[in-house]
Amino acid sequence: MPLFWSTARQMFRQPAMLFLLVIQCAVITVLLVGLHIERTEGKQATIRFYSLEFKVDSIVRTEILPPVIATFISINVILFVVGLSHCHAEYLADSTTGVLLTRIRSRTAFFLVRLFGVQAALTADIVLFFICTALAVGLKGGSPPLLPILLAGAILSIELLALNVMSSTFGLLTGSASASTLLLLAVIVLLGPLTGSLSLSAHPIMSTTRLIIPPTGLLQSGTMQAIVGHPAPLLPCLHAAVPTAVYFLISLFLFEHRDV
Amino acid sequence: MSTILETRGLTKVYNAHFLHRHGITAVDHVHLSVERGEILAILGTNGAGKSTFVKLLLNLVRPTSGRVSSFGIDVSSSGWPHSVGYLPEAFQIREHIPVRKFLALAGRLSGIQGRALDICIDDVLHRLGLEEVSNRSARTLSKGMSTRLGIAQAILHKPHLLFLDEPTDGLDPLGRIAVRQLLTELRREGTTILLNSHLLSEVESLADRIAIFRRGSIVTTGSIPDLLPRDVSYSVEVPTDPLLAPGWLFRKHEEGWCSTVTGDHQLRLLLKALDLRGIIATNIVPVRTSLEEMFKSHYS
Repeated sequence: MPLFWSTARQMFRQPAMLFLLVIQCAVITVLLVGLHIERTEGKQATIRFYSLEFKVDSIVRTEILPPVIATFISINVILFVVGLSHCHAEYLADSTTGVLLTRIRSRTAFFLVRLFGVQAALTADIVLFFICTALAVGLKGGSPPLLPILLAGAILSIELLALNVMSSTFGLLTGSASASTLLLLAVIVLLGPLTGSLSLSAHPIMSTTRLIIPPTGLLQSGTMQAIVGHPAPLLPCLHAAVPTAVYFLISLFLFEHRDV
Repeated sequence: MSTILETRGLTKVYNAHFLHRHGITAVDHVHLSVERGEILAILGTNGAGKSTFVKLLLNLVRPTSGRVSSFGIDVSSSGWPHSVGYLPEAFQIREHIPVRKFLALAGRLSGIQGRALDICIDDVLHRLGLEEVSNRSARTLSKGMSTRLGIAQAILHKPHLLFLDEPTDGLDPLGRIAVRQLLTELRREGTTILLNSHLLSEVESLADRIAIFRRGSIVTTGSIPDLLPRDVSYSVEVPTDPLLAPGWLFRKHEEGWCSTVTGDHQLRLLLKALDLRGIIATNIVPVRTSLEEMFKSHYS
């Protein structure tokens, strides 16, 4: 447990994470300053976001939160990738790793503690960001659907677990934080949308592709479904569960046989 | 004495892949035993395989072949006792964590809790002269201070077996003296120490035994008195022309001539030869072969 909390705390000291926190604070400030919601008649409302003005039926759930969150999740994900790659490179290969391993002895335990320590920090950040975003919208007169937002935060955290595991795998494979970042970004930017769209189709190639790079393809889709109130937002996560588990086992195997 | 650590045919080959088919043999069939309570120094040039050997002993690097056992148990098995301390080469913490908190983390991972942990931390901070930086971020420490912190975490839980890879790296002369004293105290307390160092004077004053590595293999091992030549050499200085004593090699010296002979018998013969020609030796100095010279001879 001491190493778990130490890992989670240190994650927030990563430059990429600190930058991410600044961006998240900026997003919430922009929402608080520029967003104005006025209810008109019935369920109608007028939304003013700086110079933009439009009328909507269902204020928050379908109109405001999805684009705001989708935009900033994309930025978040890129920063998460950078932060994750660097923290995995440091946590699994620096000079303190040897020192800690002589005390813990079980490499599996060490790996799990590091991986889930990082994950705990990501989850805390995402859930807090989602709650703050919802509160900001609520303060400006909207009626933020708190439960779907919490669900979306939880789902994004699960999706980030896939990213976390992939980052760890790439870090162990390449042995370099920069190479791991580039590889992961390439997978997300170039192949993510492809596998994402394939996973929604019934194409025969789908199952094969899903096994190679599926977690990134499914990233955000469950989150977005939760925000817009889809009845089964966890389905994309379940689709990603098997390949994420495969990545996890690869990563664990690589670490077990790695020279520290 | 009983054996606390033993290696049999220990071998490590790095990077055997399609571009470098044969790989690099870092450690090559090493057989070595370490006795309880001794200080064993591992010597060798850069790249001789010393650090890899230490990591193999700790199971941080997986051997290509051979085995390491400690307390009679294979180090790769889960039943191996935890009581080891380790200072890696060029120890540096990259995380922003205060010195005291890092030590607390290391202590808790070693099973020390509460008041006992505070006492242990205060003790090592004092022994290593780290009190003043105890609340500073470990990341901002100088190289010498990082080495001190590395030693502090290694001895925090009072291990039975201590592995120190370059423990005086980056330390000032006072720091080196302090570490030497600390290691002497630890040996007195019964700690077995494996010391990996380039500083031969330090090794000479501390180690009970040495093992010299060359290209991954141990070329010699034993106690320093056993390994150094038994016959003492003598430097004999004379004030007059050495040609008067044919058969003896003299070289020009600042205030005369000088010859070096090995062993008491040779010294007696030279003095007799000089006496026959009426030459009086002005100075006779015993010259002991140093560890440095012995080390160089293994690499020449």
